[in-house]
Amino acid sequence: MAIKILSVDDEVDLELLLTQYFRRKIRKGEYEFFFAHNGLEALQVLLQHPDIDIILSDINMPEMDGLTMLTKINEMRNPALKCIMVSAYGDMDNIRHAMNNGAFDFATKPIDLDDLQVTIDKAIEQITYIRSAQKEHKQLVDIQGDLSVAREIQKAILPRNFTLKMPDEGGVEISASMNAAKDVGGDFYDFFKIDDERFAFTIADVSGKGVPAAIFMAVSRTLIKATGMQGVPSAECMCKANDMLSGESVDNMFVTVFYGVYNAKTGVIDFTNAGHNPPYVLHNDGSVEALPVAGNIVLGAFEGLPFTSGSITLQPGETLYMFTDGVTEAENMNHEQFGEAYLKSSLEQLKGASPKDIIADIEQKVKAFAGEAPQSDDVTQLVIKRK
Amino acid sequence: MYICRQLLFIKIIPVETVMDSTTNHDNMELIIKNEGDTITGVLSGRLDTAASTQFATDMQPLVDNAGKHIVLDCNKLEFISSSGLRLFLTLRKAATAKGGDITITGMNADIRQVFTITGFFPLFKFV
Repeated sequence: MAIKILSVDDEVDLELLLTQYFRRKIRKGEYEFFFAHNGLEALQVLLQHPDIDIILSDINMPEMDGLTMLTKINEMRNPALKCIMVSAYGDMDNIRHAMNNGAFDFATKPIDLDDLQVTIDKAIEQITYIRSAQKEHKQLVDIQGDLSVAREIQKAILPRNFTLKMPDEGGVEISASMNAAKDVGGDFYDFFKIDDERFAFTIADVSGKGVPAAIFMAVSRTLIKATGMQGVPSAECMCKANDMLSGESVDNMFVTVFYGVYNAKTGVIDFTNAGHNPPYVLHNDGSVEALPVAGNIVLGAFEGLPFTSGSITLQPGETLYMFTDGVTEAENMNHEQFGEAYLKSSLEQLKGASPKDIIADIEQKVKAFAGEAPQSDDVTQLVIKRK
Repeated sequence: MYICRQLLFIKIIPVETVMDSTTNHDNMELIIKNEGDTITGVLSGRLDTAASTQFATDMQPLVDNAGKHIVLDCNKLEFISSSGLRLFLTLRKAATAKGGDITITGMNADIRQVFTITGFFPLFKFV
């Protein structure tokens, strides 16, 4: 596109001089010239052609002088519009005044056109740079907009209604929360009814954060749910989901998953832990016990691996507390971690608390612990209490 | 008997600028030493999500040489996030594909625990 130059001078001779000197550039469509004879006219031309790039203006003119015009142009706040001021040789006061008022550069009369060419080239270089920065800025703003939409979508796919559509709501109280460190996160929780007797639940953490993790999270959640809904044992669900995810995994992304199938009649949980932090069981006497480390590998790493399941029975009043490492690895300003020990002792003080209260309490403790330190990882909790 | 150890190249790459010069917490560094059929990566600092992007580039020589004996010296590794673990997995897969092996030395108990929980422990030889 042609560079649009507005020349402002009350001496008409200059028009001829410029069009003559730059005729090749004009013919090739590189430059396009506009002319005005005082500041007021110049502003009118600028209104009609807001895409003018460079203004080449005399300082001493009737009606509105160059310095007044410069002030008006500065009010437009367009960093991609450059003004080159022209004044008599030795008119240093006006030139300094112009430079201090945001002129890009100056030329002295009689104009050395070769030198002016260099100045124009320099201005074009800056304009091009500013334009591309403005374009990138706009793209970033657009992406930010997309991200906040993605955040809403991600929130919407996690269940927020904590009642199961089962007889007596499955005989349990459930609560969960997910706070992403970035706009979108890689953590998720899920729970869904299998039949009138059983429901399944998941807590998971995808490697990494941000958009790639969020996409992998959506895929993982869907695969696990679709497999789990068929009512297969937990180990088989993890095995199938792992085979499918290993096939899909780009860049060796993986997901740590704790998946369980709860029997509402017996309180028995058939669970498989695929590389996830072991959950805690809150017993009725206030003691807190971590489930043993399973030794299963994360999902998405290697195809065709077997998974070992375990089984526990939740007694009435007992609670299963599941979390992601965003809780235990939350850091304060000194890079100290929240840690398993503090989590366990916090849970020990929550004897008899409801899942909702447990989540609120731990969330608050994590926040208080981190203090001013930025949240470095998604913080997710899923809590199930047998009534 | 005279053994000549040829040091092919040493690369020092600071990943992030350190805000607090008295601690090295935010600094992840990888030094790679190529000695005969063994290639050693010395890791130090915190391999968190922010550092893992640069680390993925820095560890490319290890991936390229995954057919050799790789030694990962983790004596000075302070922390690893899941993004960091992913890079260990990348390296492990490259080693399997090229017939190499990976030995991890001096990993602290906290990080070892992460390897245990995630089931990564059996994938590597620990010394």
